[in-house]
Amino acid sequence: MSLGYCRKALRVDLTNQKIMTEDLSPEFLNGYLGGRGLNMKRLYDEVPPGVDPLGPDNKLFIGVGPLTGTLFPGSARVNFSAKSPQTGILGDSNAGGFFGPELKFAGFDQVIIEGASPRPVYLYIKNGKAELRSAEHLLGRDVFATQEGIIEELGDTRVQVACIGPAAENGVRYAGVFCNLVRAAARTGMGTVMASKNLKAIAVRGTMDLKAADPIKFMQIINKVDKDIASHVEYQTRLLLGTTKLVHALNEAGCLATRHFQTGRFEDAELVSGELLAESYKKKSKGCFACTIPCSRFFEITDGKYKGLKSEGPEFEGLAGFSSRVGVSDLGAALKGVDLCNRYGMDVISTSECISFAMELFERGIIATSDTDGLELKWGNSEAVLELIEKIAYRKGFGDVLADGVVKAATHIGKDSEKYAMHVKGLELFQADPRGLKGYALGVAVATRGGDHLRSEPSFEFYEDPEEGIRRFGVPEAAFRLEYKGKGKVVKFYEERAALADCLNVCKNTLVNMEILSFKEAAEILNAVTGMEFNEEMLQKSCERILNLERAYIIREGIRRKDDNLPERFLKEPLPKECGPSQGSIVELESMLDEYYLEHNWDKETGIPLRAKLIDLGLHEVVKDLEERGILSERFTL
Amino acid sequence: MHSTIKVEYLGTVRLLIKKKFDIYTFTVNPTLGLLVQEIGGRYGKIIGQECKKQVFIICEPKSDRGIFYKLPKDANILLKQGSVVKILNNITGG
Ligand code: SF4
Repeated sequence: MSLGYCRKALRVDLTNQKIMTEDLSPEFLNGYLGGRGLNMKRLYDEVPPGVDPLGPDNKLFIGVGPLTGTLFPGSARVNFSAKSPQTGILGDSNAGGFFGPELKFAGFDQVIIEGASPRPVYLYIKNGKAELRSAEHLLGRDVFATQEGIIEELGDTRVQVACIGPAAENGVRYAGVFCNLVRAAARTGMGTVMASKNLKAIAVRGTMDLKAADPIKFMQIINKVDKDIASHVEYQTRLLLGTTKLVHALNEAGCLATRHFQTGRFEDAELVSGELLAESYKKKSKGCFACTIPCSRFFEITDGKYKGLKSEGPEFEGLAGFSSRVGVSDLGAALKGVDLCNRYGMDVISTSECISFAMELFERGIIATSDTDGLELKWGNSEAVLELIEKIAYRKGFGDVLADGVVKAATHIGKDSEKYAMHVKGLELFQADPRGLKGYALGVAVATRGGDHLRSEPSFEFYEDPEEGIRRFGVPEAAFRLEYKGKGKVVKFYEERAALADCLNVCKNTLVNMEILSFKEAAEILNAVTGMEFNEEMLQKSCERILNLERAYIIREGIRRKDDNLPERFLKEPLPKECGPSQGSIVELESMLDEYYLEHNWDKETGIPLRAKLIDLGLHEVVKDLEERGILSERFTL
Repeated sequence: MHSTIKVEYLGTVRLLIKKKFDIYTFTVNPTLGLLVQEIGGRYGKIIGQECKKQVFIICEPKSDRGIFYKLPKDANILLKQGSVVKILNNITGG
């Protein structure tokens, strides 16, 4: 075992049932760091335009980073990437838990899944070796039963499983890959890709050592990071509430996605709040591998209709998705909604968008019970919501219409319903209203995997400190969520931090939201682990390289400035009066986009990266590729 | 004349003190800084310190629009009789 990295990838050709081990070159690791970066490089090189996301030519890449499996807090993440069947562009999603570290202990930085198996299989990786096993008996099982079945079969409770549920098997386009039952790489349909390859699960067990190049330096930095986390202003909040803290916080700011973004204020927020969940049902805290902020929780519902439901989680996105977004005031029902998505293996954000979209159409009279199999899709009808989740997972009746995502559902329904579809580039939007968060609005408009907040998370705009705004981003407005100036700079900065987190495969709660670890410290720890010689600038440039590579990938797939957009509601309909501090807000996107492209050195008219930028980042092959395709013309020589 | 302020606890502070609200009475209109000092006095130093990390939403009587404040920069904001002050964790990413 070498230092930091395993320097090995596993290539699994499912069509021919062949498994090979490949060495990873220092150039590849240096240039693309880990997890997301390694996967994106492969995606660009190995999945050209025109590939059917659900065909055998698409590939699924699974990557971990140089800190994965170390004592670095929250070094638990694993990235799953492919061309997305949901958006037709870049697919990438990551999960916490224990699967990522186990993959590292088993001796691999990356797994490449290609082709499609003639019969259902699961992949079992153990200490540098791998085999394909029959998964016939696992077909149709939900995520929980699949994990249980594999662990039982392998006779080792320490095996970590990443698997898909029935939603993926049934071709729901926003099905995820689920690790440790509920730790979901849920976005962009990576589970659907896995299902298209007849791959039900990946089981991993590893007992190999990880060694640091400079263990003393490494531990010194870890000790500092531990202290920084424990003394952070947000530590207690994240510990007690995790991301569920956002229900009340966003509601008070007037930008909690409510009844499908018709307003930003949910009158029953208290009834579905993280606080009530903690007070009523929380049993204990739960964390990922090596994390010092166990932000999740085990809960058990002890009363009412859903009494007896036990699970882990939920995150804010699921909790608000099945409460405020659909107008449901019943905490038990919201938890049940999240639980169903976890078991069927579906993304809570996309599922809740598809359902709340249908509810808005129903309330507006655009669709009726004759379209919905008799379901009364009125706001707050939790039973209908839960039934619809099941219908989507099994593509039954009206669920079949929603199972392809909100864009295709709108096309199917017609009647001008597209304007109610809350997505960017085909990926459904999160549970915060972009009108009240201008930096986030820009972030989701430009995110390389479509309408997604986790590609940047520009939380600096909540600082409300004008001096900090000037100090860090040159203008006071940068520190205020309702202001526009400086947001191009802020989003670019956080995009780089998010890329860093996804490449080191460390949790974004600490690395992005709490801003633990500067680029300088990140370079130091990377050097201490790997023995490489990174400095702050090199590391920041690597993150920029990955962002530009991703941008080039989606540009190659046809994305341009016109696609860096938001749904019409956010651009034209002001937030209503009850939204208090956010009332009257819309998003004026264009000036922020101009600033953002300028920051990136991308062409303002098209959003295509300039040649000089790509060359500066060492992306010579990308330049050549885009030139050959006639995408980078002379106009982009500056 | 007494000044009465209702404090609603949300987020971290609510979970730490296991209470949803309190009424605080002052002989004069207090500042936000003084209110937080009172809370610290009632629940102890650790809670007082935790409060200082939070966001304060002040809703004046008859206003439908709460305004967000932070310490230490807004410590001198005067609280009017009958105001409601919500103590809430910062909005950050999730
Ligand atoms: S902060 Fe939460 S999500 Fe992040 S690593 Fe820790 S437990 Fe996992």
